[in-house]
This record gives sequence, structure tokens and C-alpha cells, in this order.
Amino acid sequence: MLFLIVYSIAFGQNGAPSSYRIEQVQLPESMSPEVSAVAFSPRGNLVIANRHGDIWIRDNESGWRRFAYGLHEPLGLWVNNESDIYVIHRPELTRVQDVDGDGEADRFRTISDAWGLTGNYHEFAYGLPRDKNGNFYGGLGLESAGEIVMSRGPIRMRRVLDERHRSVTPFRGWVFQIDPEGRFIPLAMGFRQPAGIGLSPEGDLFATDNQGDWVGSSTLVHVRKGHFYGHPASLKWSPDFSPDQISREKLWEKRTRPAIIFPHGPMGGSPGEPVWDLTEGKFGPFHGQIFIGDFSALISRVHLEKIAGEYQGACFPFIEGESIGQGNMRMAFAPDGTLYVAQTTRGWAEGEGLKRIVWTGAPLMELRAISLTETGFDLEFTEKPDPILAGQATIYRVRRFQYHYHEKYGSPRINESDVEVVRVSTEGGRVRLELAELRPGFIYRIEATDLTSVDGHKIENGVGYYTLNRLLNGETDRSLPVEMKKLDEVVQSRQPTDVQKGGELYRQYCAMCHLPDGRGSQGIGAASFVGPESPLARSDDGLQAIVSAGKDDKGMPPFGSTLSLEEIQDVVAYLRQAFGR
Amino acid sequence: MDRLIVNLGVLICLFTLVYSGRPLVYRTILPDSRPSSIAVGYDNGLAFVFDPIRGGISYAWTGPFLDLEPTWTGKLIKPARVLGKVFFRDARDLPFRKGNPEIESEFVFKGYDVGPERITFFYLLDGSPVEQIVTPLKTEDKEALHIQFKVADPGESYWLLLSPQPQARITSPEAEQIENCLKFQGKETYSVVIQHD
Repeated sequence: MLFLIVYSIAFGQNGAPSSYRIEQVQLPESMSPEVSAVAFSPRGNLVIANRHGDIWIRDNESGWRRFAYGLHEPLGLWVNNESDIYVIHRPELTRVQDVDGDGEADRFRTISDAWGLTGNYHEFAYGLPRDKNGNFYGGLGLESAGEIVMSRGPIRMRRVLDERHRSVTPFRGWVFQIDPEGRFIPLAMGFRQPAGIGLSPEGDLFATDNQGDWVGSSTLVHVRKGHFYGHPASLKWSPDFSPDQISREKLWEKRTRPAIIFPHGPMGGSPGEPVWDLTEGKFGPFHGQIFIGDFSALISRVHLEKIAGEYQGACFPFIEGESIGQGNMRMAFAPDGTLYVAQTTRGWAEGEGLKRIVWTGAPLMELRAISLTETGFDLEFTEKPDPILAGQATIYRVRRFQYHYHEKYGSPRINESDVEVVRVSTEGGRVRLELAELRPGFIYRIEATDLTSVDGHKIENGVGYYTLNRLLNGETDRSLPVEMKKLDEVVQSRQPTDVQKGGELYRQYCAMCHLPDGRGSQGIGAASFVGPESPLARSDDGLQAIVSAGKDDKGMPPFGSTLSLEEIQDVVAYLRQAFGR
Repeated sequence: MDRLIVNLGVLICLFTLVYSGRPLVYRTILPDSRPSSIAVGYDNGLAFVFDPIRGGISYAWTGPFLDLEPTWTGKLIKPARVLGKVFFRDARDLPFRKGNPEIESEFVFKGYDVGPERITFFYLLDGSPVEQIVTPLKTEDKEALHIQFKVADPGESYWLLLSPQPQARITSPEAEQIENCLKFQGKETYSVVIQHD
């Protein structure tokens, strides 16, 4: 039997806070390392699933063993004990049991298979939290374009409103409940890819949704029965759906707003499973907050509050970059308070394995939380800030912006502008910012990157993004975001390009597929910028056109609605400088 | 890395076959069968696909079993490749029916058990439980799948609809053949043999 061998690969480098250590968990050689689900048994044993359909258990005494195999891309586990595990995979929620006691599963029972299937590659089934009453919760991704050959369930091909991703079979794009009797209860609709489903300690259900068509930037929503969360495709399975009453404006009115919008790029692009830190300090100074992994090389933190009875709050980058790697779609806290991160990029890029994040207890100065006030925000830090620095308004930079709600893939930031900090006050280590304006319906970026603690520790992450849906008095703004400044009004003269900025944008948006060294992920056929077939042989205009419009035949999404023309020019300039043509 | 995955998959298959005697069971995208059908392979080279949506065996073959690489590698899913020679095919929905062969019974798939040299599928047929146990038969001159149906209502009639099979013969000692159907009645278990001609 193999025993766990752990080694440290990073120490406060490359985007990880200095008081966290990231370890690579050694997996058995015979296991595919595309880890797609992670959980712990009541006895504290680690249980993981991988994309190839295996379930493996690491017994603390005897090491790894394969419990089951042959499942269809599992993306969530619930462990009753080491012989009884629930798994959600593409076709169903299955109860997998070892009845004869030989350590390997021999019983596979269908708990529910009530949703539609066509075999489309985007038809993921996500999960799998369970509440104290025994109900399971999950989410179903939409189908992408492609021929429908066979299906489970009736087929409805007609689009609802110009969506690119479709809900062709029942309940694709829904979040659901499965009760203890195995009854499937569709709860809420309007999702594109609800890749992360989580239950808060208070029993509230949350889901993440991934940026794409009708999702300008990724979100975290509080799921409630009967609510609609934005993507129109899944509406057709609602009993009161009427195709004649659909318009973008009406959908915007109907849409329940997300608690958190993750600004695309700095806060990832495809969030996974939310997990709550209930470690009471074993994982550092973020007890009660939510950690969310992302397909990109990022794990973020979320601090929620209730304003006028509704959740909203702030998100912060926690770990990013090479130290964590890509594919962070599933996470679980271990009994010892460490955080396990299951990684798979599912063929889209490169990133796989299992990592363990450990709080070392070293001092850490971070922007912990952002809370709304009548005139701005209160900032809370993990250490008491230097009072002299903290009291200076010039330390803080605030910016606000919105995203489109439209059928296009993603959205650039619109209506973006700086917001003046008119007054700063400090009390008991908290900083209160009074702003010149506070407008509901915007995301506020708050930066305090030059702050230090009273002990001289420089702030390691001083940026947070607050999703301001409501003011304290409940005032909100339900108007559809409209860009006040048209793109064609931007001066498009050939300004000098910014190669450094282009490099940052490349790392945020392009490196996932084209790789940091520009050689392109072979698994998905991403172009290599190095070598005889390099697209850098094209003109600048030609390259810009490709970045803007994408390449459907290669699966490259369009970035024209995400990046400005100037930003695309910067990226092209970076490509030429970095990869030599 | 892709080749390694396939090679490791072969190693895993051999390990399972040597130590447990259980059939290999993979649920994935398979050609000519509904999404998430179940492929079962025995160590004597007999294999079949059970379609939990159609409610029956879609096809059976002899050979090395499956190449799963198309389903595991890359972003887009392609069906696994069947390795071997197919000798039985059935595309009809709900070939096993209760009461009236002209009326499709309501089929609800409930799962399966895996044991030494056998797999048992569980489902409801018009609300009544059925177990379908599939085991391989292979001798020097014979390759066949042996299917045993266990039903909860022996007083009811059960029907297995047959489609033309150029390379297979379907027989049952307990059934009465009526046109293109095998009729079963009066017992709790019925055996059917799909033999490769």
C-alpha cells in the first residue's frame, strides 16, 4: 500500500500569502490525477474522485485503495462512511456501496436520474452538498452547440432568446434538490454552468455560475426556489414559461441579482465549489468566510453580509498564479483545518492533481472584509493597520463599474470610473471610507495596497471587489446597465502599446490555453506562438481580428466584448516581443 | 500523457480481472447507444452494452473490450471505441415488456450490482421490480450471453421482443415463441441465451 508522501512546493511565492504553505498530495501512480471531487469521511479519511470515473479512499492507517471505477465523470461526493458513498456524475445521483466487505464497491443504486442528457460535452452535473434533513443539491450545465443524436428525455430545440448555450433536454441550466426519497425537485433556473453548489452553515443554498453568453462576469448567487438567475435557455422547462413574453428588459427585471460578481480576469473566469471556513482559526484569520476555487490559477475569498434582507458582499483574491495552478474546481476542508484542492481542467488546459493548503500561523496583513455603510465602506484587516497610513485618503483607490446583460459571450467593464474618497476615519483597527458617490448596481473595486500593519507587515492582498446591489436603506437600481460611453467614441489612433500590460492580460486571459511559454495546450489544439506554424506570421490587424472574434473551429472564444481595442493591441505587442516575431 | 492513461487503463483492467473475477463495467458515451450507457466486459472476451434509457442490451461483441481514450482525452467527448466483433444488435426501445407486447412498459432504471462473472441490473417495469442477471458462457464451440430475468409478478405475462439477428440466435427453455416475441409466464425466473452463431 502506498502511504501519503507530502512535499512543499511553494512558500509564500507567486501569489500565495506568506503565511500559507501549498503542498502537493502524492497520488497513486495507477490513478489518473484529474481529480474532480474531494470529501472527507466522518472518520477523517480522504475520499476523491477523478474525471475517469474512479473513487479512491486514503485510509489514514492503510493508505490508498480504489473504491469504485467506471462512473461517468463524477463532480461531487457525499461520504456516509468508507463503504457507502453518494456520487453525482453526468447521468445521475448514485449511491455506491461495498456490500460484501472486500473494500471495493459492488452495489450502484440510482437515486435520481430525472434530468435530460444528449451526450454533449458541456452537460456537466455538479454537486454535492447535503442538508441536515437528508436533501441533496446539485446543478446542471447547459449544452453547447452540436448535433443531437440521442437523448434521455424530450428534446426542445427552440432557443428562448438568442442564447449560445442551450437547454435542449429537461432541466439543463437548473439547480435542483433530491429529497431523501429520491424525488427530483427543480429549484431554480437561469444558470449557464452552475459549477459550484454549496450550503452555508445557516442552511442557505448558493451556486456559482460561469462567465459566458448572458453571464457578463461570473457570479455567486443565493439560490431560492422559483427564482431566475439570468440565462434564458432554461426558462423553457418552467411550468409558467411563455415564449411570447421574453425580452432582454423583461429578463433583467425577472432576474434575481447575484450576491457576488467576480470581475473577469483578476477574480477568475470559471468559479467552482464554494466551501465555508468553519475551522475556528485553524485555517487562519478568515473564519466564516467562503473560499471558492476557479478554473484559472486562483482561489478567492468571499465575505457576505445581509443588506435589506438580501445577501451581497465582497470578493478577494486569496491565492493565485503558479503556486496553485489551474483547475481548482472542487475543495474541502479537512478535519485538521487544512484545505484540499482538487484540480482538473477537463481537457480545456493543463492543470491536475490534489493540493493541500496549510496555515502556518505566520503574521498576515490582508484586507479581510468590506462592509457597507451609509456613505461608503468599512474596511477590516487581519492585523491592526498603521494608524498614520490608514488615515490618509491617498492610500485608497476606489473604482466602480458594471457589466452588460446581453447574449454575447461575457462583457467588458462598462461605465467605469474612479470614485473620490472624501474622508477617512479609523477606529479600533477598522477604516471607514466616505465616498463622493455610492451607487447601487455597481461593483466597487477598493484598493489599499500601500498599507502596512502597526508591526510593519506590508499588506499582501489589499484589493477587494464589493457587489453593491442595495444601499443600507434598501435603495436599489433596477435599470438595465447601458454603456454611457460608446466604444467607437474611444480614440483609436495608434497610441504606443504597453507590452507590460499586454503580458499581464496574456497571463490572465490567454495563458490558460496558449500556456505561459506560448507553446499552446496540445490537448485542446491551442495555437503555439513558437515554431513554424505560429500565427504571429499574420499582420497585427489579422491577429487583433482573431483575438476579437475568436475562432469557432478551434474553440477559442471571442475577446472583443471583454478586452478593449487598446488592450488587444497590447496583447499582440506582448506576443511579438515575448515569442519573437 | 494520453497514451499513458490508456496504458494505465489496461493495467487497471488486468488487475481487476485477475484478482476479483468481476466484469469490467464502464458508464460513458458509447457508440449506437443512448448517453451514459453501461459497457460490461468479461474476462473471456464477451462484452455488451446495456442502455438504461432504452431498457435493454444494445449490442454484444467478442474482443478486447473498449478503447476509452476518446472519452477521456481532450475537451470534447467522443464515444469510446468498441474493440472486437459485434454479433448481436437491438435498437428497439423497451424490448422486455410486461402484459402486452404491443405496449411499451414504463421502465425505471434502479442500478446494478457487480459480482464474480456477473452483473445484475435492477429496474421497474410498470412499477414491478425486475432483476436482469447477465453472465458469460464460453466454451470451445460456443460464445453466448446468459440472461436471467427475475420478476415479482409470476402470474403476469412477460414478453421479449426479438429483432432479426444475422449472427446470433436467441433461445429460452421457458419461453413460448409467438411471432417475433418470446412469451414468459408462470415462473419467477426466466433464462434467455444470446448465442453467437
